Amino acid sequence: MAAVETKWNTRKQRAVQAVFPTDNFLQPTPHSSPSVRFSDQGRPFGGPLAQVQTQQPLTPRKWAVPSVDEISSLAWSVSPENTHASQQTRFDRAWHTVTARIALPPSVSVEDSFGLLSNSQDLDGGVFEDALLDVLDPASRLPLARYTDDILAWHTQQVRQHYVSHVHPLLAICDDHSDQTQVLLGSVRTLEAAHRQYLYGLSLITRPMTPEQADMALKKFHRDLHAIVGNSMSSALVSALRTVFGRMMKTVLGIDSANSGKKRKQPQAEVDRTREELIQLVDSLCKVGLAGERFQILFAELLDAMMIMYVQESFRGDWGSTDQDVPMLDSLTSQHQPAQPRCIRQLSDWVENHYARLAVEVTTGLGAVEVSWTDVEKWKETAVGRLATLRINELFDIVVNWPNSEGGIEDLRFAVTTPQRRLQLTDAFSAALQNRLLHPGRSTLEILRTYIAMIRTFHKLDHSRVLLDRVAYSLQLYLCTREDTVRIIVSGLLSTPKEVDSEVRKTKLVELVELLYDPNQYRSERQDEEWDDLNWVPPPVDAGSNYKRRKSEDVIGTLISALGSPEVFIKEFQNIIGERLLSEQASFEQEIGVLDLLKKRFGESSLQACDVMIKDIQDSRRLDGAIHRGVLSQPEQVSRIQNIHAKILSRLYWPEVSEENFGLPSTVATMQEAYGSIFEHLKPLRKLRWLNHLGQATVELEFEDRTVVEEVRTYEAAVINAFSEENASSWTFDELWMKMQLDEDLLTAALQFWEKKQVLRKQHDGRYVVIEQLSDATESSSAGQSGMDTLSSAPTDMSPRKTKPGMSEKEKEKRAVYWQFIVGMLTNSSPAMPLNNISMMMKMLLPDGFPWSNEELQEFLAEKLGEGELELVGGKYKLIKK
Amino acid sequence: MDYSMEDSQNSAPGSVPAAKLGGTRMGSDAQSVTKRLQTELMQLMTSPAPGVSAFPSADGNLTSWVATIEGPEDTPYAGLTFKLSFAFPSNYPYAPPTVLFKTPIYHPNVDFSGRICLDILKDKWTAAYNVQTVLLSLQSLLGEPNNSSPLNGEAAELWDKDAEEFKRKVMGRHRDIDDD
Repeated sequence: MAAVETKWNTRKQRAVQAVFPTDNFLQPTPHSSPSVRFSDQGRPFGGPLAQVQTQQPLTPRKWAVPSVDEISSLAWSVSPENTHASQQTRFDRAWHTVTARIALPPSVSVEDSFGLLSNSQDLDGGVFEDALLDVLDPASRLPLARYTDDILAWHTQQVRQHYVSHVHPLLAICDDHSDQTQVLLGSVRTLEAAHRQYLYGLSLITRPMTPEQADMALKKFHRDLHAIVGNSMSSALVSALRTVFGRMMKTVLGIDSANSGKKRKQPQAEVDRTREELIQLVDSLCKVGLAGERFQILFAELLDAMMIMYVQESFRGDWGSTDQDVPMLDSLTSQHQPAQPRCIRQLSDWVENHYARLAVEVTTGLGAVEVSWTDVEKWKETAVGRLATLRINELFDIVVNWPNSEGGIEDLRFAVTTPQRRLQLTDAFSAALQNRLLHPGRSTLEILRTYIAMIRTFHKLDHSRVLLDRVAYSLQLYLCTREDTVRIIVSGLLSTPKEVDSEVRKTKLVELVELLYDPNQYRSERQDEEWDDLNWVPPPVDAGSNYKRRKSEDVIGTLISALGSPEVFIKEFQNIIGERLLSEQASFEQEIGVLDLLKKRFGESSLQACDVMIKDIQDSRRLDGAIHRGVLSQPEQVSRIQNIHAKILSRLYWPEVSEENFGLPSTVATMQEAYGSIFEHLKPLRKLRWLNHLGQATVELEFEDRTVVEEVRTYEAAVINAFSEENASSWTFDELWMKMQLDEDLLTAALQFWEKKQVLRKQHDGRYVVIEQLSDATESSSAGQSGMDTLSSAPTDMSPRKTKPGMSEKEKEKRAVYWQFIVGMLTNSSPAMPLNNISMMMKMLLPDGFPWSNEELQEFLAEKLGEGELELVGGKYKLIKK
Repeated sequence: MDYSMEDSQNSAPGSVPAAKLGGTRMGSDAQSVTKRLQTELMQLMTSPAPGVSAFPSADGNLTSWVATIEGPEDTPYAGLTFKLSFAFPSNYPYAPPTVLFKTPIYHPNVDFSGRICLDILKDKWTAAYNVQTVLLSLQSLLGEPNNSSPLNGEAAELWDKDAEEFKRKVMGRHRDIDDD
């Protein structure tokens, strides 16, 4: 019957085994080890071995199965051989003795009350040792006991249960601390106490073992325990770890986010102390099994974050040049790496001496990862990359702060080496450019100034100019849309070096002057002769197809090329230099100097006109002298011309000068005549044509109470002259206009000029009269003031002295050509076109560009509408068929 | 990342300010054609010839022009205007432009789709010709057709035989394509 039952049981067992394939369960539980504590939990004694250790021991329902075995073992134990039975009994007894001894206390309430470690080893004489030996080595000591068990596995199992049911809840209590440090420390302390408890049991077991065996058992036990502890880490504990470690690492690594100022010198003692603490903490974490994979990941993340933080904290906005404030450690490193800029040196020093040191110390404590020297090198690279990212994001500010940001550029030059980083750099910078510079809120001057800084910084950064070309294109396009670009550049070039430090800097691009005289800007640019260049390097890999090497920084050349073509620049240069040559200025050394330098750049021929202009001015001085001397032979004319001097311009070479003829005072007219006749006598084939409105005159006005001497424009002189004539003390605007045939704008300007000088006064009836006595002026100021105010506030400051009234020959020619274009366009391209299209076509097709704005074009077309050449149908212009 | 765009950043810009910046950035061929055509246009505008005119088409493409010829006095074409299209090849002026009559025309040397038989537009072309000379040649062709190699045989015959009928056919075929 028993056999049947056994058979049946075996079958049943197989079925169970098929579902729960764990051979270990087959081992019988020694029935004579009844421990009330364990049995009342309804759990078997047989401990599963390693392969089930990861299972949560809280739900061991399936382990109830071996209780069936218990029955079967009972059945088997009544086997005929008595020795078997007695040996089995002895093993069971021994088992009982041992397990009773090393059993863990049933409950714990406070972290350090895991029961006392009983030191009374000798309490039961040799019984325990004996039993232990039996349990440990049943194979040799009790060869006939069939059902033996592994005491180590049992202990492990017991520890696991104990941990789950008692220690884990305690840890949960620790997690509730508000202070992260408390969470961490509490947990660590709890775990340490538990460890002590567990290891005590183990130490009892291993006592009789050989050292190797004991060691192996210990290691295995540790591994099991750490797995369970590590896997049951709560998120609160993880975040506590993160916070506490983060804080300590910051101190050790010298990062202080609270005090992001210049120097954060924590006392070395504190750093050392924290380092000590940190290492101890790692040590104890290791011991209690919290230093598992999760901790290692966490530590790696922290290290990474620390590096970013360090780079941010230490180097943001720190663009100082290399020379200043070199840390003492650098003197050592700088010897073999002199090329590294300061920040990079500081950074790699930090990585080497602080970062890597910490990492090595911690990982050694963990015993998991070896830090090799290549790792440190890799960290350095990463750190440099981080620095590069920081600098790239700062690049716009670095450019703006040039030349006080040389250090930043040095860093970039060192760090930005790969095409990826170069691309990252240009992308980031272009974006910054669009956002921060290329919008209507920035003046052209600012943009140009930034561009100059860009040229210089990028030259420092990358001699090949590839980077600059990549970022500058949008800027150049944008500059083309600004009308004043050329003018600002030219007037910047022509400002005197003396002006450099003065207020003018705010309104003029005076940097250009400094650059113009800087010999470094003019290094020869021999494209084809690279064979003798000892510093030759291949072009960068990301250079474009039409890449050309340039050696010098050449700010001016780059600026001018940004304008499209040199012709545009030269034209503007002519205009400005023409204005200056005609001004009162006594000497033109600055202009001549600039001209010479520009000739080097553009070649003699393109600037020939300017040469002629300057020569004209110089010649006319001599000629003027000659005419005045020549007149001595004709004594009757001496008196007539002694007060007149002329600048004689060669009409063809000067930029268009508008002609404005008005009635000169007769005295002046005769002087001009006399002067002209002498000139024609000296230069037989040439004729003088006077540009009356471009001269200056010295006017001396005598009033009843005062004398006024003024250096004025000729038309201003002519206007005031009108008041000095007989019977002509007062004029209306229209009378003056009719008499002098002077352009209205000029006349208005002249009258306003004299009003300001308190020479003329506008009466209520609109007549202008001379203020003979200043007291009159103050008297009437209440009345006159208001009139003057409205006058001066309205159109005065559109620089009436500079207006170019009338149309010059060249302008007329230009308009005729434009008209031809429009006619051609409307005859052929499309019979009817809106204003925008016409303007666009003109801009596209005229080789010199089309300078008119849409409004100007509209005005011009309106004229043609008036002349009956055009008609406007539905917003489109059409030619009128004849 | 895509690096293929790098070259284009340096070389091929957008086409917006073609006249201003384009010159230095375009390929040398395109540049010289553009330059030549710009010069020709300028020349046409500053010294226009009577009865002919030409201008780049409205889409702003400089290599495609539209021209207008007025029919010469004392020819069957007097008082009529004819539109033509010019398409310039990329090796202009070393190859002739393709010229077509857009306005339907009844002429011995022009077929019904506007193709022209004129030696200087074919094998006799030299780089010394330009838009203006071509237009003037075409204008004179209107008055003096080359009847020995006609594209329109009927017209060639009528030209010599029946001037009245010829004129009638010319007027019948002519249609202003001007107003759209």
